[in-house]
Amino acid sequence: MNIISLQDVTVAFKKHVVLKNIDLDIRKGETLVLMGPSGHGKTSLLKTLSGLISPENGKVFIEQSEWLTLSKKQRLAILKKMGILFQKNALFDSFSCLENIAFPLRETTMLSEQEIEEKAEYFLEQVGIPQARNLFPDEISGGMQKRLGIARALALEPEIIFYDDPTAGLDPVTSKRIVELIMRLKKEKGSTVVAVMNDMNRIYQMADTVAMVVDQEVLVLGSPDRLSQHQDLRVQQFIHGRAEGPLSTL
Amino acid sequence: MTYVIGILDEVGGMLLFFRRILRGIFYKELKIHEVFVQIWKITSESLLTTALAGFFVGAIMAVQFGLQMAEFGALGYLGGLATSGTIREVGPLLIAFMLSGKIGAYTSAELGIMRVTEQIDAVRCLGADPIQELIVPRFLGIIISSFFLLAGGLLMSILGGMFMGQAFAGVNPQEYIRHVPTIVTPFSILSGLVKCGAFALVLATVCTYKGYTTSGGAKGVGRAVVATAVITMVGIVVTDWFTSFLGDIIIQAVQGYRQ
Repeated sequence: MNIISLQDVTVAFKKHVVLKNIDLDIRKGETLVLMGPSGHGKTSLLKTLSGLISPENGKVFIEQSEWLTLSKKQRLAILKKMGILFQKNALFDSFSCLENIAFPLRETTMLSEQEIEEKAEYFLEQVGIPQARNLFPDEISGGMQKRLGIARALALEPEIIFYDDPTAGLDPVTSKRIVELIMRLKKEKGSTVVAVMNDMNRIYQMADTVAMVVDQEVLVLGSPDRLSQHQDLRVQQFIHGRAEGPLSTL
Repeated sequence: MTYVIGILDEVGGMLLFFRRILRGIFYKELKIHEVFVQIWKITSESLLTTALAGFFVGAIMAVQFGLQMAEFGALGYLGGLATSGTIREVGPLLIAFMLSGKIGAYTSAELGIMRVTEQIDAVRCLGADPIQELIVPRFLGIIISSFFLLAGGLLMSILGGMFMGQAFAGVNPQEYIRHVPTIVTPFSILSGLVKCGAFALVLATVCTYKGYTTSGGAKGVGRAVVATAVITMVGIVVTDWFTSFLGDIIIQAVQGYRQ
């Protein structure tokens, strides 16, 4: 069953087109990785899938409901089933780490303050940073901030989780651990994962399906194996990280 | 032509944003605690500077009025006239300019940074309404605080005037305040309060709108802060003219009715 579908979606900011005629289906429980060169529309696609950006043309179906036709209340109900880790984490810098996780719980649940605190502590432990409880985001390392962002995204135990470049700027060891954490949490909760990522090792580690976004369009959609056997020069250049090739002119 | 369309576009955007804020205030659940946090923050951070400025404005008014009134031997009215002028015009204007420079710039920068670092998107994705969560408390905080700051600033301006009246014109404090109740009419106070509220409304709308709609990273935040400063200054002066004009019409209508 498809949990999210895009049908002939075009997204533009004023006159600048960032996505062109995208058709994409995401199955429930699937891990879809969006990859491709910078500035070609991966993050815009992720934000369109999560309902953060409204398309200029085409239809977005989230849980079989057409996103643009939903009322604010219906959208909010669906948003509660989603979690997002932003590219730069988007942590609330005036809140402590615990407060960052407590925020969505306070806003959308009827839990008592004590239950909220216990739940926030549980998620801090799940991502391995219980010691950061009372620290502020700018007092912890980049890896810890990423973990905190993941914990906050998971706080409402969402059915769909979006990760925008969860390993960006992290060392190989930390990035491997972050991906393992994402996969462990996905396995435990049975959630659907959509991630933007460019590290091929990590993509092979976690993806069920890969969508390569080039020139505002989905160039390839399929399993990681299919991707590696794809004959398009742009795909091969990207996978092998070659400086020379058709992508270098973009 | 494009420039004119750009201005109209901006004004239209601001009015629509103002409508969203009003809906947030009247039709949705207010974050009362956050509103109080903002009132406390704005008042406590600006009270000292406002009081200091108020003191010196009172002193300046006393000196300026004193120079003229000494010629007519009417120094006894110094306190009443200086206080009336401050309450009706200078006080609200001063508070608005102080708040514009301090809180307006701060609020638009804070919201702008939250926008460019995707914190506002995060608020939305985590099931909360950014208008209700971030904008309404700041908006109400600025408006309510401006009245507290007006009261503090006016009190200090009377003290400043009193001090300068004594030092410069030899008017003792009792004499200085003797004619305040006769010259400062309820209309003067109402006029000051209306102006203060109107200026705060302009400031709160502009700074939250510019912050909320920031785009383009650090440069964008800088642009939003500068735009907030420029638009609020112009907006406050235009609003001052408009409220004075309106006040004049109301006074004439009331006087005509009484006659």
